[in-house]
Amino acid sequence: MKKKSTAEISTNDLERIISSYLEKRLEASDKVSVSGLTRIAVGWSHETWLFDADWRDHDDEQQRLELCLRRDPGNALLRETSNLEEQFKVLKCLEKTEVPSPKAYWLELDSETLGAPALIMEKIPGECPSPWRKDGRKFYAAAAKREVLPKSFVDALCSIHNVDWKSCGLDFLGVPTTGKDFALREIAKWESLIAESDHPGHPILADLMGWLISNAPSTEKLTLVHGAYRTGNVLIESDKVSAVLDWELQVIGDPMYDVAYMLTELNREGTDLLSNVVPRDLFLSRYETNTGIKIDEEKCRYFQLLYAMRSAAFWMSAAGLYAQSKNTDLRLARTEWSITVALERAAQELGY
Amino acid sequence: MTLPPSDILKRLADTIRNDIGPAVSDEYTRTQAFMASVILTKLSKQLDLELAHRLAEKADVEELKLQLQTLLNGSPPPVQNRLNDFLQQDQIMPLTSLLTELHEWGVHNSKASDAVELIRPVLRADIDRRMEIAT
Repeated sequence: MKKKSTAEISTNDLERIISSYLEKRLEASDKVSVSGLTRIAVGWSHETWLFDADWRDHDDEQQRLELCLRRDPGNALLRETSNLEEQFKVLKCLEKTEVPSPKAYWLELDSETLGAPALIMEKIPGECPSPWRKDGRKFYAAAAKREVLPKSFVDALCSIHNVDWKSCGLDFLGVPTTGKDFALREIAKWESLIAESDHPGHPILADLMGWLISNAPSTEKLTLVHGAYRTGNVLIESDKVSAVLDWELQVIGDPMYDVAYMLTELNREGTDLLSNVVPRDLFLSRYETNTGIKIDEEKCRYFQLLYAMRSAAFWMSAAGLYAQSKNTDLRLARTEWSITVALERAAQELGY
Repeated sequence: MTLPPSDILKRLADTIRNDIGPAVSDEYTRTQAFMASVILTKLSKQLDLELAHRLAEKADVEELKLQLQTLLNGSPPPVQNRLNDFLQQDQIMPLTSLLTELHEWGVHNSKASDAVELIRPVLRADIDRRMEIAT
């Protein structure tokens, strides 16, 4: 049997808790019926649950909302680097923009109300095939041939980089100064996650970090950066991006950070299509036209090394959560050997 | 029991993968069984290769010590201190602090960059050994 952490909860209990919570939040004349409660994305991040809420309002009109609940059980991969309060605020800010994103409804930071800190947002129609699975790769290959999704996928990234982040209030994320500050902040963030993991590390990591600090590029134009923009982190409906998901790594920073993630070989398996769906030439021309930002491939190569450090930090954090008995999931223990793979790649990128 | 520990781990891994895992109906628990099998296989490989890897690491480190001692003679005290830490051990882990100091000293300094270039083949050899287990 799976050992349950204190934040874990049965579907029936959660259904009851959500129903009672929504009765207070919605103008319901009677009980709120919660149905179809299903946990998805059984990953290492925050829990994600989908459900429908039905109720009668005070005019006796039948109402329905399709909703998504994210809960933080306190043992997720990114630890304090990601939190629901920030996600909630980001989604609220994005409601005023062109970025396809779900509407955020409620945030509960205490662990009593919904059993763990949680946010409730709109459930947007669409599917999210995994690019790491055979059926997912088949889906993206077919969509690429129809030529609609590739454009929509690029356009959604452009919409993120075109956001007027100051006017919509996203400066709460922290604004680096122009120059090397953005790159150095990212290095410091992942260094801090590594420190939290209590992992002994490896000299290649010290070499990589030393190189990253010495070669930090200058950032002049700051945009909203998603931080993990790839297929698998967007919802797709009728070959178009209906929502950009996973707002856990966003920063105000260098747009090339996202572009580098688009260009990396790590996000495509057995295909030349970026993120398994976009022809490279289409991406380069459409992105530059839609954003007016020139792609700097040298800077992208730098950020790909920064991603090698970030990957190592993720796996160290994951392995650390298991080693520190904060999470009993054996998939986390397995990542001990993923650290080696990330560092081997870093050594290659550094030229040895 | 006469079986070497690495063989026992490998057999446990096979039993979990082929017999126990498939008999579990709950998806999460079945995944955990599969992961347990993967981990045991890696630990078995690690045990198998441990002695050879340790000897290879020690040989690499001994050679590197001689090279770095000559090259870094007269380097700044923080580098010298980290070098001394490394010289007292027969493994590569103390190179972490030495590399941090070398990068601080500045890779545009020729001695520092030469030292980093001397160290890198040893790190390459180490990560190759680790990859034998990881993949």
